[in-house]
Amino acid sequence: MIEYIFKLIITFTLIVISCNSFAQKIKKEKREIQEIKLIFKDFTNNNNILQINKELDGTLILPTHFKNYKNYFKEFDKNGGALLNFTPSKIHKLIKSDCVYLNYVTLNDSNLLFIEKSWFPNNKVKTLTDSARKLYKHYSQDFMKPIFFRNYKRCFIAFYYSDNLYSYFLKKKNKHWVYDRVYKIVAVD
Amino acid sequence: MIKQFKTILFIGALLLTFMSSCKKEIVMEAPNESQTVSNELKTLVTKVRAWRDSLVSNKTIGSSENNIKSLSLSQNDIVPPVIDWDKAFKNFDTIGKKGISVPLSYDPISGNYLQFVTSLVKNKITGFIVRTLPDSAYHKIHRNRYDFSNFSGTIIVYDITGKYLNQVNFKKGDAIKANNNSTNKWGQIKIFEEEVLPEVVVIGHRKRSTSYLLIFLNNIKGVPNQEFDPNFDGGGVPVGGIDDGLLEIINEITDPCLKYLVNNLQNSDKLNNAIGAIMQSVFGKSAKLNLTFKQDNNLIGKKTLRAAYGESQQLSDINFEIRLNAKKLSEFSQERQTLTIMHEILHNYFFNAYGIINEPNGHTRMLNDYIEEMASSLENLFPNLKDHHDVTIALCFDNLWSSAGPEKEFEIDPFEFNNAISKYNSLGVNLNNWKSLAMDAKWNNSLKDGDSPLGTASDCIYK
Repeated sequence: MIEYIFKLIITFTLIVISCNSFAQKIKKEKREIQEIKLIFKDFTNNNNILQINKELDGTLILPTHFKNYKNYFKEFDKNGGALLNFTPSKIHKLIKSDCVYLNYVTLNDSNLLFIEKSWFPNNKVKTLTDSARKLYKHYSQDFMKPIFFRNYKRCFIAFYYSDNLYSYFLKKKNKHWVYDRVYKIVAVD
Repeated sequence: MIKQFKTILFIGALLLTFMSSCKKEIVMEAPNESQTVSNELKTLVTKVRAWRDSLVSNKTIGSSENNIKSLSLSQNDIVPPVIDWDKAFKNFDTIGKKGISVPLSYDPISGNYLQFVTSLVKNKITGFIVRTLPDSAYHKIHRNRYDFSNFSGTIIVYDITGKYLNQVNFKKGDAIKANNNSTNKWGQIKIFEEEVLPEVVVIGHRKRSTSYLLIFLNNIKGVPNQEFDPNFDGGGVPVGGIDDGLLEIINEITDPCLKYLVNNLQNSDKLNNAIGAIMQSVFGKSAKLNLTFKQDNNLIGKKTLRAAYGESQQLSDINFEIRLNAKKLSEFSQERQTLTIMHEILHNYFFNAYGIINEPNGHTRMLNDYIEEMASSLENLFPNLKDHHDVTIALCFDNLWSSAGPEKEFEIDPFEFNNAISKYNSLGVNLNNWKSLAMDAKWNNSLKDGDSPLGTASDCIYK
């Protein structure tokens, strides 16, 4: 009887813990999406740091998804990932724990994040598949998934097209994302 | 039974502890690196602000010991703008000498810069309002308002209430006495040659300086004589600073021919060579920006994997790098190689000048605004091209042609490219056959198949 009660308690505890962890994961993803929406809001109106193409009526042209870093290393920076190897730096305001986290995420990220129309006010966004973007070469930049760190106070964003890479750090100021500093920009001729 | 229960309980407790420790997400708050520097700056600002407020409210100026009253404004006096203390930055951090400066106003067109400068030595504060007014010719070249190397122009000093005290005119770095044009030893740019200054991180500005402009107080009318201190630990107004002994352009190219071409551009006459001037003025004379040239004979596109001639990288807000493929460039004449170097310098200049703005993209900007600068700079370095201006321009178009294409984020719209050629045609420079014109100076004549009569051969050949 006691054994039965105990098994019941254990099972119940495990269910609670797994629910909790699952809820936490969803909460984290939800938070990331909230922050990504805020980045789009803060950077596509006045300061188009993401160099997003717009139609005349302001409709944004975006790929269907953010690329993961596995794609990035497969398609770009093939030389051993030299460009995105984060090391502690005063210039970039990166401390060791930031670098450990950023390197871990960039090396292990294999999930695509799909861009949803509902993220944008009035759904003013047009998403183009990779094949459509190849057809219309105007929209060739690939966005990588933003990486948030320091408790969502800093963010690393990057995008590339052809042999060019643009990457920046953003920071949170007064509940808005603002441009912080360049990480690396590469232009090959 | 009890024993079994105890074991199960123990395992259960262990499992619970393990699970509860696993589920926590630890969020580490990173320490703020600039906190210490920021606090120090705040302390300095508080001190200076209190000092300034006490003097201004008492209507006293200069040394409080002499209690000189600020009287009504004369013709040369100014009404000082309201000081925005948030803009304060630590101007210099020499050993034992600290001070803050606060920008008051700046006109980028004339270079007229008004600032509130102070120095603190042994808790004694001195401060002035200083106007820097460069000559137009000087300002045209020296866009960095803190760069006083070979300064030509006027520096006017006011007390903290805006009362005119004195002015010093400079010509090529030498102070000239107002009335007789003879150079005077006071007010000259003092160079701290041997002194090692610690590098400091300050809000808004990062200074690394071994020289600065200093006007001695005992030569400023209206301020009582103060002891001249040969160690410069006070008694002067630090107006700005720049390290003119250290060039921030590092040439790590190993190929002697290519290295020579980079040096040639770096040492070009700034007045006649616009691209050389950009290189020297933007990167060479700024303690804030570093440009490094590196050689990479295996340079390839990151995605396309095509062999590339050059690559520009902005590695941070202050560090820039140009990588050149000496092997691939050796196909070209010296003129055409130099154009590639200019092309990469312009990329880095745009990174710095336009930051995140990429409309128009760098190549289109080169086409629309820098063709003439590239051409005249090239002719300055290679006078053999001066009588063949059409060839020079065609060579510039040749340099940009590979950057024309449909990808509007980084390529030149071919329609715009053809428009630019038509523009030259309408101006009387016949570029209908620009490709064959460019061939006249494009290839390296040291090569077997090199056939460019106007091009200068390069002796460094790779097989």
